[in-house]
Amino acid sequence: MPEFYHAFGPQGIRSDGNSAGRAPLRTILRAMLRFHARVGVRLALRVLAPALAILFALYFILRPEFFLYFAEVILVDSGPLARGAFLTLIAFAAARAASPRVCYGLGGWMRHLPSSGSLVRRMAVLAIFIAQTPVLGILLVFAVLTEGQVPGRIPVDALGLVGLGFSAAASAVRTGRRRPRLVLGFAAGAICASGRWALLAAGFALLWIVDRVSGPIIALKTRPAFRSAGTLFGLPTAIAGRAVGPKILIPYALSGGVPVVTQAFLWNNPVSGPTAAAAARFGGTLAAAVFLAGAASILASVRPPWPLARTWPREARRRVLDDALFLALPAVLLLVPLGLIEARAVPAAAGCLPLLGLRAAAAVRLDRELRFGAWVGVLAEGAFVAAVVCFEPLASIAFLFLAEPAFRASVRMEKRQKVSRWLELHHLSAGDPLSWSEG
Amino acid sequence: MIRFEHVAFSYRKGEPVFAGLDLEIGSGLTLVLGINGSGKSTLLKLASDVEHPDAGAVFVDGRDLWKDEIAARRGLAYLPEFPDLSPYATIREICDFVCRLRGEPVVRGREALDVFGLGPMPTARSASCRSGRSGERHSPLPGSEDRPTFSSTSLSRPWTGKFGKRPWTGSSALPNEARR
Repeated sequence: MPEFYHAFGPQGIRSDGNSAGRAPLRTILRAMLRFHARVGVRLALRVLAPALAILFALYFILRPEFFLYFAEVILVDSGPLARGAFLTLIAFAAARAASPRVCYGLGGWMRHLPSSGSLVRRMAVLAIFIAQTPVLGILLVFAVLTEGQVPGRIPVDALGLVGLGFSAAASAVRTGRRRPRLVLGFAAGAICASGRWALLAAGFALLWIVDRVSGPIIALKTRPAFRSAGTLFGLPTAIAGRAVGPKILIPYALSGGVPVVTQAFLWNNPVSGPTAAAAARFGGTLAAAVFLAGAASILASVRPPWPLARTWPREARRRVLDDALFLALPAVLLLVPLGLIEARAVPAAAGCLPLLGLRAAAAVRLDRELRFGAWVGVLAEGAFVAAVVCFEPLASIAFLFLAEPAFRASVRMEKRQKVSRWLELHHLSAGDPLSWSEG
Repeated sequence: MIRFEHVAFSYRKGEPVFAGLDLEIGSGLTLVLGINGSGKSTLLKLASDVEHPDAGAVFVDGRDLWKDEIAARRGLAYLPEFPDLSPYATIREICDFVCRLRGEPVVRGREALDVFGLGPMPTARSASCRSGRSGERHSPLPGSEDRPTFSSTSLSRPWTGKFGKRPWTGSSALPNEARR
């Protein structure tokens, strides 16, 4: 028996003693390691790298002093467990975002390969850990920034972040024992990230226990059948709504910050009259753009094109219109806080909504191999529209007229989509048109 | 009759599947045979509107599939190689929706579900028909997950063109009425 079989134990690679004609176990292990490492690296590059870019942008906007102060508050001033808990929350969020993309399909077809569920889980943990490395890297930079105040702490911080990353990843992979996995995983992460050598050892011990209590990876279960009330706005809209589900709150949360910042700007600066209205117009239109960018990105990833539906007697323009309404109507809610800030800004922002909604519907139909998803284009166009409307409110009338050519362009994109083209999975659950994401 | 006029299509740039394809498919049964990767499935996808040609046009009974979309597609029925139904809609919702689009009474959708043995589970989703699936409200039927696709496809009339890649896949699991 090869020695690494013992290293993985009976839960490791399957071996029934009759391995004639099969790939050597070492080859299988190497293949799985390579596969999952590549998944993790791609995910890190495609999903978390933009987050890193935003952070760098914020670094230059908020100045280094803010980040230094922030790092001191987290890593120096707070107690070891509070510090660990805070860092664990960040790592859990990153792992939670990466997990559905890594685990999609691992509980199904992958299970017929000659490897156990536990090994597949461990490989998924590795992939999620690698995907988290940009976030862990940022936290390490924070540790380096505060090194002057607590000398010699970097090795324990670096090792602690490794333990934290693995704890968060182990907790994010779906297995049968959910509660002990989450509780022990959080505890292991918090202890590892506490920045104390003694606690670090305990954290790694707890991480080992998490690995033992987590069973094999499980397939994503389908949800129970829906109530048949979804045809109020038509089945396609109901499908989009069900696919997006509570995730719609994410763009609301992101875009809700823009009116708050606008209000804070108006309170803290001596502006009034036309300048205040211009700021409100910019904030309102940008909030709508942020919402549409987020919602379009989610819709593109959870609801791939439906090839069979294209064969039914329904026009491409209807499909585009359905999506544009689905995306733009919820954005109308954002005009309410704008009305409270500056009522005169509402018509100008509302005039931009049809154009932005149609551009968002077009972005859902973009080439799905785009590195940054659907949101970048919508956000860039929305920021441009917001800037123009900020300086000239009457431009919203022009944008209203521009909705018509935008609609035709979206219909063209809908028709030209290669809906049955095979694309890679794992970094993008909408890659394969037959893979409806239910994660 | 289905007519391809100078049709060009590629999934990726520089890798054409068809270039200047001219083809006419008359009435009756037509079998498309060819080696793997020769474009049989792509031909069906172009004929059934799943994919849009990069150049040229496809006509069904003289109507352009992508210009006169509704009229041209009214008589089409496409049975994909793999079951392709949204997990976010129930089987009955999909059948009702197809009935409305095709101008058929909704009761025909219910009849189709009965014929394909899906009458007892109308509020289930297509995934429920996969045998051996646990955790669903309805007990899985023995047979194929193709059934919902079969039932929604059977709602097409007058069947100007009915396409399917390996349409007999899973048909052994269908009830006798459906096979007839």
